Amino acid sequence: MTRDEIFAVIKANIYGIIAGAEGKEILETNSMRDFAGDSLEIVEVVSRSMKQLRIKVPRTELLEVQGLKGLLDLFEKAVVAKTQ
Amino acid sequence: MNTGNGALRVVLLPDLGQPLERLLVALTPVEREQADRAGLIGRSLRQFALGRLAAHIAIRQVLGDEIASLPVDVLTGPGGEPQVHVGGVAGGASTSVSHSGCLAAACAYTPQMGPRQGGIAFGVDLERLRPTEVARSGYAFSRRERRLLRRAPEGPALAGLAGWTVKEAVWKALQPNKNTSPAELEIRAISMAAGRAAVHVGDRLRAGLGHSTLKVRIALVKGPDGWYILSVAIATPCNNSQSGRDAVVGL
Repeated sequence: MTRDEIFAVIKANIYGIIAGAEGKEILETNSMRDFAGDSLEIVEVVSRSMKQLRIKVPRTELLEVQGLKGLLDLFEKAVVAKTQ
Repeated sequence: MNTGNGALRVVLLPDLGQPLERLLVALTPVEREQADRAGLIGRSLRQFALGRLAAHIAIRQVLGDEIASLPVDVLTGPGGEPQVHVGGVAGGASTSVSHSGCLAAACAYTPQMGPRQGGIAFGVDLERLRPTEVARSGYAFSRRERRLLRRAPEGPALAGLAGWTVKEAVWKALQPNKNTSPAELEIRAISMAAGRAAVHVGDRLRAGLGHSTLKVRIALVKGPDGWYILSVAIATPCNNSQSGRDAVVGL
């Protein structure tokens, strides 16, 4: 699975869960807060994406994440680790 | 809500669709400046304004006539926490704010004593009732919590939302430092029917906080666009007779 494919999963969940993202372009440089996502919506995007990607990332690592780029980096690392 | 040491005011403020400008004009210049600096726009700005206005009402209710002629600013502290300034001076009351959908909630309390000086600490969280799978999230809840929420009589969707507001409210009340993990908080019991939850606070989080009793109240409240879940957590100071007891704190 490529980085773009992982990002597509995250973006689909952002569009599905965070109303403020509707009609807006989502870039790696964004944060979910840019689309007025509240804490629960952010948790749901992260949880649903991990489930669809079939990865598990420790909560402690997720707490360190800054913006979508950080989340994507972490998920990409987990996907690579899973396939090795 | 009686804390045993004075009253904690809880104020709910609905968003009735008034123009954003009317909400903003009710903020103080310092609050508007903070919103500008934070780059808040659209829905975020609207919710920020509504939350601040709810806090103003709650603070004025607890402080009463003595501050009637003074401006009240609710500023954003370094950790995102709301800080009260009355007449330009920090303190006088403390507050906690939450907003979701078309409703804002704020709690306020006085005297000025902070949690580390023997005063109570409190936090509020609000979520609009909506379909959610948060009860199954390994990010939000531990394995033990997920099992508890799955078996809750009100069903996992409602219990999950309630559980989330409970943890957020407790987190706000305890104001841990950035190195503390939310995994240090674990819900051990939750009942929407009783409006209560029991939360275990881990040793690392408890260390230095100076609180031994934690009360959590949960309520369903009506907003302009439907129902919301409101949780309020109140931590009261340790006393010697309680020190060293088990970290499961009561309700």
